[in-house]
Amino acid sequence: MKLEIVITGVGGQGIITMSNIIGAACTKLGINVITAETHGMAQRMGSVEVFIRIGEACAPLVMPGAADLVVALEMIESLRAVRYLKKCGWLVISNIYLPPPGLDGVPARHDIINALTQLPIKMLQIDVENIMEKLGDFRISNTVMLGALIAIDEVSKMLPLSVVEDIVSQSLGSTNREAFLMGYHQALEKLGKRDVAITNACTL
Amino acid sequence: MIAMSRTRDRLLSGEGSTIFMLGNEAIARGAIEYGTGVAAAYPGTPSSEVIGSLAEVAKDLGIHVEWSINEKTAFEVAYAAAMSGVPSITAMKHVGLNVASDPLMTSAYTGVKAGLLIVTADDPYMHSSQNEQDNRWSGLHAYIPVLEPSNPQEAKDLTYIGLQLSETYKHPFILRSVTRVSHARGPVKLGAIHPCRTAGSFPREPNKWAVIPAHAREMKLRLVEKWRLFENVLADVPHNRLEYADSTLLIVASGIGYFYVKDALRLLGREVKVLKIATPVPLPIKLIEEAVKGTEKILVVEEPDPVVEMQLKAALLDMDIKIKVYGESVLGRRGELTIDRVAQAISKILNIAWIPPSVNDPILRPPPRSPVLCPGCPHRAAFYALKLAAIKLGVDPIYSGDIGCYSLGIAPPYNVQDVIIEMGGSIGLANGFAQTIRDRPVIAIIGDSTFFHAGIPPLINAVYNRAPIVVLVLDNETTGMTGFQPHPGTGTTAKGDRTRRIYLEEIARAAGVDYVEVFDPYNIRRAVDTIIQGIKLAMRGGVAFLVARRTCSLLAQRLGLLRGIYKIDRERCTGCQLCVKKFACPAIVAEDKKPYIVESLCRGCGVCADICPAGAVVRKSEA
Repeated sequence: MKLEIVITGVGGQGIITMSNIIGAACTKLGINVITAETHGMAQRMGSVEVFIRIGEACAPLVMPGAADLVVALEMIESLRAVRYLKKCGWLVISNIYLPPPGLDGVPARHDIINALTQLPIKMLQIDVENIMEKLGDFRISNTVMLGALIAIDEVSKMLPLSVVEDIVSQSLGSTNREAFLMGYHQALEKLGKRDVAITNACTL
Repeated sequence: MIAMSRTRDRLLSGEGSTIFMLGNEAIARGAIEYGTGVAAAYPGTPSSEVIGSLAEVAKDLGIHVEWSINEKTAFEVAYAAAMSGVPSITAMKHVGLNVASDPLMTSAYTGVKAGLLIVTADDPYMHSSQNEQDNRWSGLHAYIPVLEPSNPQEAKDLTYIGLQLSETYKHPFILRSVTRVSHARGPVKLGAIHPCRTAGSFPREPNKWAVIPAHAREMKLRLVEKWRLFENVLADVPHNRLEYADSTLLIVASGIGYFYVKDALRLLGREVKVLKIATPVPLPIKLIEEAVKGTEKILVVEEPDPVVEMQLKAALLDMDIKIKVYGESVLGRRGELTIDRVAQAISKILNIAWIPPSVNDPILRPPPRSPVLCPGCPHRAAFYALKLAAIKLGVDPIYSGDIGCYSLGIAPPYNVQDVIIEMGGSIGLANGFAQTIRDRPVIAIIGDSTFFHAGIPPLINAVYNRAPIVVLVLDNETTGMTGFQPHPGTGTTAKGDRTRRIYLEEIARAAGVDYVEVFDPYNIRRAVDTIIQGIKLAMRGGVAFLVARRTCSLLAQRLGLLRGIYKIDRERCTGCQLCVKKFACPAIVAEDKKPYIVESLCRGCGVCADICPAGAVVRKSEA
């Protein structure tokens, strides 16, 4: 059994923290895991990618076209990271939109969603901005998206909600636990209502 | 049990527990298990967390951990500890070893008394570096054996084994990591912690430690003998192994290359004989002799240079064995390995068809997102003032750049890093430009930590050899890019103790610099005036030393030092976009003509309010 996840976003969004929680959960469950991250210059509000390989996997990097899931904490970055996603894999995307400063011709939100829906993938968009506003905290986008990720069957089969929830609440506190659960429930609700984008080639 | 624990808890967890750990933390834990008494380093990605995490447990263990002024001094601190019988570790990024290479090259001659492990964290693909040198060559060059882990678990194990072998053979050892080992995380099973040894002794034995020619000639004879011995000794390191399969192809995989090979073979559904190498230098010939039996082709997988491949080819030639060796010819010698790169190479040699998975190619291209200076970064304000000063004077300076966050000043709209080579290079190169470029002022731009590291000798050189230059030190009172390590200008040590703070400007004054000024870059008018004075002085033949001092905004935020935030009054804003086009703070966004400030990003530096010609930027509470 193997699960490959790529998380992408902008430096400072807490992507490494997110992958650390997944790694700690796997280790607690005795499942093999290897993650790879970038530090230093790459971190200063640049594009960030973290690779997570769970189960029967050894090398740290995910091959393009091989990830079971891609999680995009920022919308524009999804256009880069979706290259890692396998056919009919899940793209879990937030509605946070951070255009790089000083550039012209940056794709707009709806153009991004439009381009993504033309790919042979399954896409679930999470309204992270709404949860951030409700909780009055801008730093919780990573735990919201982690919750949404756990709502996907392939992931929860390996990483049960309660195990991840415990780690979030122990290491990041109650606001993050709440954010995590709000992300989880929003994703579950959307999956239940089939409020997802799926191309004909794939099935839910 | 806390599942995602803090560094300190992870590092000090009990024997037998399995902890999800960063590769560099695993190296630190290996050093702790061995009983290391001294650890010293200068920070550099991807090595910084080795010593950084040891610093967090230094007081628990009673060991000495320091951020040294540069890698050479760090090496010497660890080297002397090992000479006096205290096991020690030093860690640096690959290019840091260049700075330490003077003592490195002689350390193999004298050897050591206790274990000395030199960790070099190489950066293939140059995620955060100026080159991708492969420091396994340094082992060959310096007669120092190299161990190469393939994941965090092996990083811990080989750190321990490296210190043990170093002590047994009284010889320094190198542990060579790469970004994807140092900055990978995985489960690490911990071993027992041996009591640390912190007190040494140093009997007077100059014949052992003073490399005057008469002594060094003797040492070289013994060194060459030892080197032959290592070829056999290393063959027995348990992390080297031959995984047998019935195949005429043998894959020799060093370090992280091994796991790419395992995954690629699984992907291809093939079983092939694999010789896993954890000791690439010197290559244990005994293992090769055994592995090549019945072999028709060999593929060497390593990252990124053909260090094993070249030794292997030489060994086969010596043994009169004719086998075709692939490696660089199918994998190249640059960048990081990937599963598909290795799978392609194997399928090519096995002559089987393998098509990599199809890749999603969206119709929209994402715009590039290079790293940028943070909101509130004092470097941005300094660059803005610097450009303004040059415009006011009507000059086009040469901006001699350096290594640090401020390297990002290479990007528009600042364009103030015309050349970047190495640590301290800004001032060294400025010395040279000043002697050849006569119609443009020369401005060296360097950070505080980098100035302490390698900027002082070239500053003195400029005064001594009369090189008219401006040295602009961007003093953000920390080592920013690598994660806020303290340095001599901060008044704090690695362990968090107070110490004497050394002021940059006092060093410059003592060196006889003609004009020394300190200013706050957030005060743009004062900054521009000061820089103009400095440039004028250099144009008259003097040396100017300007310190732009203001705490890193990211650090200030973490320390809770920030003031309120700002907003743009849309009524007063004329839409001139000066703040967007010339200042380019990521917190200022222009979706239509009139920009706005993203509240969650603003750090309240207020520089945009200072430069706005319409006075449209105001404190949020005042609006």
